Amino acid sequence: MAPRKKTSNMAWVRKSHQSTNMAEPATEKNTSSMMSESYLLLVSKLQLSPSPSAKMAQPSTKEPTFYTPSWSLLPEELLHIISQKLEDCFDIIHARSVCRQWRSIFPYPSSSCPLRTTYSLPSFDKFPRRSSGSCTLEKLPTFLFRVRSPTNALPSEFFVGGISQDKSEDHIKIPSSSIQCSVKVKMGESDPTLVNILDCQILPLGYQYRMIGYDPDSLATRYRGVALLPLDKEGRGEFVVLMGYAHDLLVLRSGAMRWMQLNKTSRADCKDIITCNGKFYVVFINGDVFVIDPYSLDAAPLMNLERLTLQNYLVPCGDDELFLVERVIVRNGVLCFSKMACRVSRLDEEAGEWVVVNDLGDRVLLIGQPGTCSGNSSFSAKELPDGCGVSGDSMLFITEIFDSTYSYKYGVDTGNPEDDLSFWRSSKETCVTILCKSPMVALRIDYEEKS
Amino acid sequence: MSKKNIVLKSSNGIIFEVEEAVALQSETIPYMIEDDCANDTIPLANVTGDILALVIEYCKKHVVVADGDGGGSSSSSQEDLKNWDAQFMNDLDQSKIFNLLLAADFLNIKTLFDLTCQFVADTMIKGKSVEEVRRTLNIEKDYTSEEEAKARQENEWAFK
Repeated sequence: MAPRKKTSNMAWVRKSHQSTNMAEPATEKNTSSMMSESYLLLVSKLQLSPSPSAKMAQPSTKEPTFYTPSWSLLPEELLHIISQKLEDCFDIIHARSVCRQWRSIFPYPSSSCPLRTTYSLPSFDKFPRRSSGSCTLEKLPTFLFRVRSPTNALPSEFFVGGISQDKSEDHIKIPSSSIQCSVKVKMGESDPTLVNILDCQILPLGYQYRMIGYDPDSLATRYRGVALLPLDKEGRGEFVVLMGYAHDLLVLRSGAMRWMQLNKTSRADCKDIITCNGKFYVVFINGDVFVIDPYSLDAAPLMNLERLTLQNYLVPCGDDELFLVERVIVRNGVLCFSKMACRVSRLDEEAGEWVVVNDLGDRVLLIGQPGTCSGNSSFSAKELPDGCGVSGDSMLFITEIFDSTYSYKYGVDTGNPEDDLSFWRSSKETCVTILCKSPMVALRIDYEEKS
Repeated sequence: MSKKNIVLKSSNGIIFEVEEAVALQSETIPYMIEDDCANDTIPLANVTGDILALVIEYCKKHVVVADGDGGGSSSSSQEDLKNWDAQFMNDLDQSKIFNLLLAADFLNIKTLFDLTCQFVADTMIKGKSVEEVRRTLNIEKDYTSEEEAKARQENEWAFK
């Protein structure tokens, strides 16, 4: 390293001939009056209209050591820039409640965190006939909430689901002194509870799309999941919707606003549709996976080297990674969900193929019911404090028939020498109890005694 | 070759003499040099001495050493600078942060301005309750009860 210059490049020079007309040089004891001076200067510069904080602008208090600037005097453009430094949409919503000025400057988080959006589309019930009716597609942001201190009233530590503003009639009265952000949680038949957002750790999981009024879980419905991709053409808000309906894949462009059948994909019924990196990915009930370009609507199969199973799940990770989880069906022996094995692959988008992985880093893949509040998603366990029961590099299935599930890890020793260990299996490290599946998934993590 | 120094004068008359490279991190100062007196003192009417001292401390730390050898190498590694920035901000009280933000804006020192804005967002707004923010930043609630009810409604969420 080059030797530093010895000379100080900052020198205190007191020009004596100026001192008579000038303010006194800074010393410890009049620092505060100096600040008051700059403060006054600021006030006059801004030409503030009278505001409740205007009385703060009188610097002639006798206790200059307690000088706290009122930040409501900050120029609006600076506050605006500060507002852009907030990423979490709940922080922004909180900030909007501070005062009028902040409310006008902090924009409602529609771009940084798009909240519930709905699209009115033509009905598809009578397809291929056209219908005059309409249906509503809903886009909901989904989050993982970790309640920092679960209580008896709220025994769950983790909640996964989509949220939107509570417009229901049965508002819970909150103390009038506080206007905190809260999320209403209703588990089963119990009374709803309000959870203060400040008491939660919130991890965004992405979005989910739902056709209002159709439950893909129900055997009666022919609707099999839906996804939307924006078409970024000159910012005109155009989009393409892809939907699994009965034995078909239907597609709709916002320009034409009519459903069309998309051919040349799998012969099987669609199971789930996911978007990743600007493309649609469709998984079919026979295990086929297709990638569909939203512009050309060309479909191409994404095949693995050897097919293991019929049970496939697509799990997006952030906006540019996609994982495929294949469940190995054990044909001999007792069918036991905790003993099932999985293979995990990551999409190599350029090569157009799946690459088997045995390490997920700090990721946790959450695998839920397609199209419901627990769609597939992922989060980083690094962001959760230790001892939350969900360690990284694991998968958590929340679609089980039973109300508990186990996290899956790679290479778990089953104790059976015939088992191939190069799979993901239930690690039995933690047992996750599903307390509630709708309208959100509530999970409680129980720690197994080490014997 | 001797380096050119620039003389800055704070609003309360404190004089600082700094190397040109240090001062030129401000995008405002070059204009002042052009407009005014190239060889004389540059008056900074909006910045007090204690805040200007902080600004200069920051700029000295962040000055890119453009010596003959290799040229353009950073005086510290990025990681060190980041830690230094964090410590620098942590040591400041609120009124200093407030005035530093104004000074960084006036002097147009982008990195310092960004650092200060981010610090305010991270430490004074993020994860704080509305009442805490008001208390910390000395902001009075000026809502009518109607507006407050509206704000409260916006804050009520539910799982769907």
